[in-house]
Amino acid sequence: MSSQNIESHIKVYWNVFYALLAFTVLTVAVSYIPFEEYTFLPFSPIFWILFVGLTIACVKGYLVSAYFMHLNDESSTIYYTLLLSVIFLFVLLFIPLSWRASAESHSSEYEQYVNTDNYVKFIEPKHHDKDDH
Amino acid sequence: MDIEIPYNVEERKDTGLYNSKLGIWLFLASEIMLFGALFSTYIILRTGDPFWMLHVKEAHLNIPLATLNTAVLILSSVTFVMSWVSLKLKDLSKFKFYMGITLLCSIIFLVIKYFEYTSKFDAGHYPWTHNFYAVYFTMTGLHGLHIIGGIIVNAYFWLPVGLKMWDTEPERFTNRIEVAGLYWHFVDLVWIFLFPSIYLL
Amino acid sequence: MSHDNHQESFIRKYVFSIDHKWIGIQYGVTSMIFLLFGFVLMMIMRYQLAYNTSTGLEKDIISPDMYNALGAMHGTIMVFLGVVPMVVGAFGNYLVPLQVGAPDMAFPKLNMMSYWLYFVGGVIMLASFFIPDALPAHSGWTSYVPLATLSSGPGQTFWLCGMIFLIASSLLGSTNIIVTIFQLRVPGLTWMRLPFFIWAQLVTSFLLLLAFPPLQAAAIFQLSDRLIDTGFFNPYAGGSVLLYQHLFWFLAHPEVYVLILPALGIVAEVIANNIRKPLWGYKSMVYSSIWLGFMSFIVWAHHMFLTGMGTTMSSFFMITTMIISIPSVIILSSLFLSLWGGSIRFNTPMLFALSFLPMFGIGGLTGLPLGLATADIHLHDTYYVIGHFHYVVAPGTIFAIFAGIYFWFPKITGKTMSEMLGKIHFYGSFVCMNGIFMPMFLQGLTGLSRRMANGGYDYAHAKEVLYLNEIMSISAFLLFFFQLFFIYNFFWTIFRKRYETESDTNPWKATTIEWTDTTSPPLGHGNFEVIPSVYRGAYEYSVEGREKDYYPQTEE
Repeated sequence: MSSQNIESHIKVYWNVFYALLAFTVLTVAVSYIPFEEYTFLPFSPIFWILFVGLTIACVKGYLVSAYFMHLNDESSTIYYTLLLSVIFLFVLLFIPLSWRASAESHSSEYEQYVNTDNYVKFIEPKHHDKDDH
Repeated sequence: MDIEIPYNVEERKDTGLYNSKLGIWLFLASEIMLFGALFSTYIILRTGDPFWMLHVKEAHLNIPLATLNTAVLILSSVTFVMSWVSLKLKDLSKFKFYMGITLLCSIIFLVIKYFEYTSKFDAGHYPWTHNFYAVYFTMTGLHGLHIIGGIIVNAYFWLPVGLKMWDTEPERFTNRIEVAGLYWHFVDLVWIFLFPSIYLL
Repeated sequence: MSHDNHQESFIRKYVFSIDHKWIGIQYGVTSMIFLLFGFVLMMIMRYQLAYNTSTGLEKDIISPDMYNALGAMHGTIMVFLGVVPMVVGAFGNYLVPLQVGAPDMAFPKLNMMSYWLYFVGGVIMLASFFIPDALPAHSGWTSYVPLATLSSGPGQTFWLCGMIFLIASSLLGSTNIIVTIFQLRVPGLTWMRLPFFIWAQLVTSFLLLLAFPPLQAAAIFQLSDRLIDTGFFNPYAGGSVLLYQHLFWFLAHPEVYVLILPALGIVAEVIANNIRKPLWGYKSMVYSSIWLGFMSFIVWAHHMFLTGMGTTMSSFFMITTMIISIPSVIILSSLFLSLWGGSIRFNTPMLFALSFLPMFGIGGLTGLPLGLATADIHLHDTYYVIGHFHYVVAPGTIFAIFAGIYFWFPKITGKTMSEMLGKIHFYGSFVCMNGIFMPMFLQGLTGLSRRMANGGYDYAHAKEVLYLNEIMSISAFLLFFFQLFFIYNFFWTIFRKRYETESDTNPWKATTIEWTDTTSPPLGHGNFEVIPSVYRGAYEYSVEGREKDYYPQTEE
């Protein structure tokens, strides 16, 4: 990068900083939105809370990686290595969850132990006192 | 008496990289897997516990303080970039100024963290109290350890002991700062995801 | 290339060396000691299995808890302190810079750190044998929770701390190898001209880089559960037992490809050199190893078929496991097919490399029923599994390691090991290896469970196969006897004088850079007097119209 080039980038860096600050405020504000009250929305309120929160986080993440880390100008070797880790990351994130969904009990080990009727189906109800833990 | 390793400073044409840049990105790829495993654990434990939110409410997480911490870390990220830019513009005193702010912000981050942790302990909330705290302390704790590591490296480059490379090999020193910057931005990136996951969602 | 005249202190030169060749030797010697130690642990176990109170002995030589400790530590030491440091730390560190024409690894100081982190991790593991009144880790090399979390004594804590150091070491080492291969290849050494050994090391390093961190996380969680009573893996506290298994096997499956890929690399080099013709299917082997590496991340739950997973999940993992057998078969078949029409030289390294092929074949084929969920219901956690993975690692990888040691010994020391002693070592080891591990399949098929201290005398349906225990144990003791020939050969050759006939720096007449452009041993600083350029692929043997039957990569 030549020095003239750099000067123009300085403005970009500070703008990214302000954007990041703005998104931070936004993400905190959004967390207070009562999605449960908006019954007209498709999908559950939990979905919306997660979706909006994670989307904003991804945007902030993109800004940091593209501009501060110069990922935009980086060589393909780096891209593919990162792509690989992200793919495996998603595998690690979602397989254990799908596992639980596909297993007959559809519940976690704790849920089977605690026997909460409202939340899950289970194979064999276990009768333990709730205040065991 | 080190051997001359090629492409330590100048970029290799077909990869477009110098050695330590590839090295640090590879390291960051493995860190994605490490924090990924932590996030995966968080998801599994949280979705498997119907009483999780009770403990979240009881924890009284200090969202404003954590938001301030987020802003502090983002500031340290931009000042780090500026310190690298200063080196590219051959301005050592500007570099020291911006790096100093980066270091200051990192220390402020840790101090705020310290207050957060002690307030939890004072309320009788320890990692073993409930898995929410186990996850909270482990994830923020490991992130904090990474911050400490970054502080040590950045301080080395800010103090005379690390600075002297600027006089003999300025390009190599600039590359070192770029590489250390990549690590630092990654630490910021992790916090960008950690903050909403733990405090907001 | 700079020449330095100052004297390096002994400590700088031999203890904290940053020369990849010396670090490779440090890794090699340390891992050989650990391999021997793990072997001795196994012999104690095998004695107990053949001769215990159920077979008529008056008193067991070890308690069941001690048997479990030996079993857990045998596995841990062989995998993490023996084989991987040898194939990646020793062979990788020594040969990768030489085969790509580099003066050293990309990060020499990091290389030195990775060795010493390995050393410290190893010391911690060994120290667990000396805790007063307590056993080393005894919850299997897999350290499953809740057994490991609740296990008595500090042994398991030592294991976890040791693993944290070993994982850190592996991380630094793998980064180093990848950067060296990408960045330090000499001019003309394009990707498809690289020796297959380098491709194997590259894929292996990516596996180590990306697969180890989840185990690092799992170790931290287990330590936390053990030391400060957190509930990560405690279902009564909201945790999940299965989570540990997911995190562990997410590493441990790619780990087994870490064990085999460098071995395939070594075997490919030795075979190519000793058939005096190019490897058949080099490109297929390269693409297969990349495919294998990628797939290895999505098959892990075939180790968990019996944990209550639903049919969707088990089908998914069964399909990926079946698919992953394809690239490994492609690589093995290419090596077999390469033999056709070759002028085969049967020297000691070649004998080990050739025997690797059917042995790895048996190991791979016996893996198939294990990968099929329905068959696995019967075979999971039986001796069949132990037979399967030992075939792949013992007459598999370890034979490849021997092939590599005999093959590269003249480059590293300038002297060639004795062929006669080598052949005795080979034939004896080959027979004994099969004597130990083939009967295990028979035992496993009857359902005989693994990890049982008395060899299974309580299992009624295993009665007909129990007599095999003694045969296997005697084979194990004999196997040790035959290693003595190797150990003697190794040290005798190192300490004897160099013969006049050993002045050739390329005695095997190989084509790759480490043979053609370096002295034996290679120069201390920077390996090469003149930086070589590469003009052709790595396996140009018996090229038409050429006088010599090999055409070095760097010859103009």
